[in-house]
Amino acid sequence: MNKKISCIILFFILSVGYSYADKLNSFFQDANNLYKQEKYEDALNLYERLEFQNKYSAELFYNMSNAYYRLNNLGMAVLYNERAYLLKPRDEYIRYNRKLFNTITNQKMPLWENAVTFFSINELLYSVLFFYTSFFILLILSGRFYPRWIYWTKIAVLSLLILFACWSFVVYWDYYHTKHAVVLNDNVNVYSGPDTDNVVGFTAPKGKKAQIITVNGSWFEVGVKDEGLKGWVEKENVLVI
Amino acid sequence: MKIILKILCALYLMNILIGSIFAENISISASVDKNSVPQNGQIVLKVTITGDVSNLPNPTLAGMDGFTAYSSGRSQNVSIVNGAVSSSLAYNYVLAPKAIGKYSIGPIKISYKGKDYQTELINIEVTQAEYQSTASAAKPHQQAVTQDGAGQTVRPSNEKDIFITTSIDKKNIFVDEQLILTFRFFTKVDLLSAPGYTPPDTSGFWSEDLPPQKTYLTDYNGARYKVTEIQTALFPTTHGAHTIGSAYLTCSIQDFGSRGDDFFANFFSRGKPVQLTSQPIKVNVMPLPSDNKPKTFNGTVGRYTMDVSVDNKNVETGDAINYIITIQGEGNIKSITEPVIEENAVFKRYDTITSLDISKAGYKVTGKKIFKVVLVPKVSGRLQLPNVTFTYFDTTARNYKTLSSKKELISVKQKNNETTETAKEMFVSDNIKIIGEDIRFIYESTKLRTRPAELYKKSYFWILVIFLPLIYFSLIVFNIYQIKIKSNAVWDRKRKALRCAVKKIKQAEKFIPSDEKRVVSLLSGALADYFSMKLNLDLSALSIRTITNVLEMRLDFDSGAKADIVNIWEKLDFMRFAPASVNKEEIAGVLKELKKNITVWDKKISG
Repeated sequence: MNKKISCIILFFILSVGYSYADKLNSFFQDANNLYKQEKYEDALNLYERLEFQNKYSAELFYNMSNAYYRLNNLGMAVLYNERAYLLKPRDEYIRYNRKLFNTITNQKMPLWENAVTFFSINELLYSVLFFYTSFFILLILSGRFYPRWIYWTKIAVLSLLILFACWSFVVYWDYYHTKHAVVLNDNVNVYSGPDTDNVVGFTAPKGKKAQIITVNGSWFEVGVKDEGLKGWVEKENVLVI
Repeated sequence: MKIILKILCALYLMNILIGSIFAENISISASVDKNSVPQNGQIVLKVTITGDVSNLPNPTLAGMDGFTAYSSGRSQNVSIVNGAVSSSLAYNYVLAPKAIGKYSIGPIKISYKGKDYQTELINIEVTQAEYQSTASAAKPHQQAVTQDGAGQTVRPSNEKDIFITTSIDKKNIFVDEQLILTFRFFTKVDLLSAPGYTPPDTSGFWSEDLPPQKTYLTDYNGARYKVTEIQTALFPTTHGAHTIGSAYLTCSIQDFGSRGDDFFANFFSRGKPVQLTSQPIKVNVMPLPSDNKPKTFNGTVGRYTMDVSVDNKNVETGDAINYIITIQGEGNIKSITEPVIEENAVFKRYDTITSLDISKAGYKVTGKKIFKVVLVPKVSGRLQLPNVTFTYFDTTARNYKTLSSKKELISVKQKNNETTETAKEMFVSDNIKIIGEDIRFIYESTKLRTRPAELYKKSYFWILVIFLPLIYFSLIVFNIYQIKIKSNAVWDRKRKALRCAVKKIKQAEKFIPSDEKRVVSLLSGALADYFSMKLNLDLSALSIRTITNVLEMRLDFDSGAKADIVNIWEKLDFMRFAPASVNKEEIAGVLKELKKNITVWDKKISG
């Protein structure tokens, strides 16, 4: 009897879970349909509902980026495309759009970036986890068995583990620990200090990416590495990727 | 010689005589009805020219600083007595003072046959304006008017023929809201001269005339009046209390009765000058509300609609298009500010050209302001034109309204032989030619996941990272332990002794009360195995004496415990060899005792 009740409850939970997932996917489809009808704002509303429910995917961010671009909001288009890029860096559509946006905003990317971001952070960490587990399994096995191949396999796995761990750390440090932001408004003043009384050093166009160096109240100190520029900008003018 | 001299003298005397006979006597004089006047009053200036000629010259008014002079007609008097002509011309002027102070009028001059004649200076003092609420303060030829709370003027009770009113349609308005000022001139008598109208001072307002003036007949207090109406649109520029000044109107009307029954005097009279003055009107101008004021608001007040269009929807890169924004409605059209046009990186924007089309139909200011923005697309593809936002304050709804443009797309082709930042004309092959670039299309499906997205933020990642080494080190420790066990059998036996004994005791418990023999056998075996393993003694040669000897020699063993061991050993021996005389209770008691004591012995032996 207890087993039957448990099965019924489990079935119910799974059904609810499945229908909820189905409902979310239908939101996505509805949003896509609105996009095709060129109702970009309505499509964005539905995409954002998914985001507010803590759902994410590279395709969702990519579609949001497209909708913002159609609405001439280049800043938000770049922002969401960058978020999609971090999740799926090898995706052809995402890379293409990223290149187009970089051209429009005159953003220069370092030569090593394509290599570093070839894998997403999750792919790297899963690799680390895999080699980490393999290494310990090999360690355990090597305590029982002593064929030569275990020894060399251990060395190889350890090397790969170190490589992927370092690679993950680099990606984490450059793209997650070091915050980047996108300029949302056009010709945003970048000051020499965190106050509008300071001198305006330069202006940043909409869609430009910058690295956040420090935070001071409602101000960010940002830097544009490829142009060797640094300054302070009000938080409301940028959004963190 | 003497004759010539006499003739010359006679001619000279004759000249003087003739000259004295035919000399023309002209004089000019000026007088005022009073020498002190309030700022909102007026003075009547009468300039009289007399002479014995028929065509008297006109005077030239001079020295009128501080006054505005209005002609209110002239009168002429000609008399011929005994062939002698004498005439007089009287010019009447109404002088309205401009400011407080002391002034001198004149001298007023005339020129006749090369000779100049002028009047004396007349000193006038202009004092503070007096606003009288009743008609009794007015002079007969002045028409002072009152106003009620709505700004409507009220005709004094003793005035029936001619009066003016000024009114506004609203007393409380917002900054830059349209206010209609209406001036009306009522008359039921004929005017002898065209009226002179001086509009009121509207400092603090931007004004727009609303032509044409209207003329109509109306009944008022049982009398029919001819009304001339002039409307002006006013837009206050600042908030606070404002005052629309007095309007003035001067004219001449028939003055029957003032000259008595003199037909000729009345016939030749040019009427009596009249100046009408209205009371100022106070207007309360409210500031625009600061609550919920949109950031895109730039100061436009009124009621408007917005229309956005483009002149060409199919262009090539580099071609200019006109983005036309038309703001149409009611309000101060000239002050409509440029709508906010969203910055768009794909278009290059040039200066805006504005044009106005103002209408005053219906006696209010309406119209449209057109903003023409020149845009040049930088890239090819299907581009959306920048969004346009226009915010204004709706005076009817009393809130801010924002109008936004609808989405407008244009198609931009790549111009031949031209490259842009994003599009290159490339001939990939003979048949393929790249026309333009655009973003890729959306994804149709996805697999949604729940945040956090990054693996390092998930708990199971760190659990695995920490758990694996723990497992590994646990296995190492276990391995070391296993090695130690294998290398030291005696130690291993000692370690296992208690466990084996307890196991056997538990086995024995199961056979109570069914198989007492077995119970006793198991208990004896448990005791013997325990001491054999614990003390490393040969089981085959084990006896109670051997056990007690070892305990005495090797260990400082408690004598009480030794006695217990002996007691239980002997009981079990007895039970084993004389089972018939043993009952179940005794066996159970021994089992219990052994179970209790064996752990105590183990502790004492182990130390």
